[in-house]
Amino acid sequence: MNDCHTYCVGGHLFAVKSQKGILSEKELKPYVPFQTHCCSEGSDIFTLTILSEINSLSHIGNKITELKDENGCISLFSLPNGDISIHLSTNSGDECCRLHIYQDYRIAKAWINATYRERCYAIDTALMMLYTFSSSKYNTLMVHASTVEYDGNGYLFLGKSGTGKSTHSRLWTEHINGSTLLNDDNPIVRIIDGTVYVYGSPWSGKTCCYRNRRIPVGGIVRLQQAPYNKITPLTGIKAYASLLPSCSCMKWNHEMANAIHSTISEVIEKIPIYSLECLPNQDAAKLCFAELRSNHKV
Amino acid sequence: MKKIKGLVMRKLGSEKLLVAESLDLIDFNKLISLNDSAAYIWESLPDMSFDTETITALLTDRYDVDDDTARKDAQELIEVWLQAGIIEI
Repeated sequence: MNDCHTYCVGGHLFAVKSQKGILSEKELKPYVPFQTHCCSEGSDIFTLTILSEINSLSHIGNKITELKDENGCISLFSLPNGDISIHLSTNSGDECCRLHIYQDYRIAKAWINATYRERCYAIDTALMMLYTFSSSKYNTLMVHASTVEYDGNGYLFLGKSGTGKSTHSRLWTEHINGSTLLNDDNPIVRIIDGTVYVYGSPWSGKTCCYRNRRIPVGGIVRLQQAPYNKITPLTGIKAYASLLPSCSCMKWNHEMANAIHSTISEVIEKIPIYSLECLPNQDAAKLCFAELRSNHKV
Repeated sequence: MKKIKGLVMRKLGSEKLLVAESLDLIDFNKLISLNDSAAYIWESLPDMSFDTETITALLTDRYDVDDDTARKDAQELIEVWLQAGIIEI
């Protein structure tokens, strides 16, 4: 017996297939709010099949690169036929997932083998990578940001890890009446018919905030720690430079780099972008809020 | 001298910038903004090697400057570009 679940994230459908019982309820919990029953094959951006055996995925090609983050290490290999093989290992060095992506990023297979905690890391990473690869051509960005909603608009807070994105969101929800958290780590930004939207996603970092919701973007703010609070509007290259490093991209893939460039260019034309040098305090949130709202279209 | 491989020129409205888009430059996380004359020179330079005279010729071709002024500008530009890490000796 096989399980097949279809999810809709950022308005894009993808499917996850597996033998019954391979994926536990805990692992799929962040995805439940995004589950959909409309299973139209044609509009799927990708289908991932989870395997119980590593045997069929044993090819190794040329190593393209290795990316390290706080959770583990991701190694990318390109195979002679153009497919991509991705190996995930945990900080302790154990391989916990092998992901095989076929040429056009629409079909992928993964083998996952690890303890519960690492299995979540593996499945989330595999799906986030596939999502980034296959959605970039549809004016879609996966953004590393914490996002709040106020009065039907979304406000994204960007910054390097440890800058205080989540803290700033929390300061909004605690001190600005009517604001709520939309996503705490990886929301989806997408342009549809000229409007820039932000969507909640199953990828929300350490915060369990998996909201299936789409709202127009009201502003994007890059945070930087400082011994004072100061907000500065950014345009042109400075706005571009503040958004680019927060968007997931295999920038050595020209097609993807072109797509991401054109989406970011359109976003910075339409959305007010700011730099906020700030302390982790209430005043920072209030200053940011006041500036964003004063710029808001009436 | 040579241009660093993997830098791509991108247009942003009327602005032009160089972005690193290759695996060799995975740690190059700067964006280099180019004005019109810098963008013209960057685009006109060959992928193979070039020297001060190559840039001097490009400048005198396009702009109304004498050789000495153009050569001085070319030398300055090369120094700035070396510092920015977008060309190498």
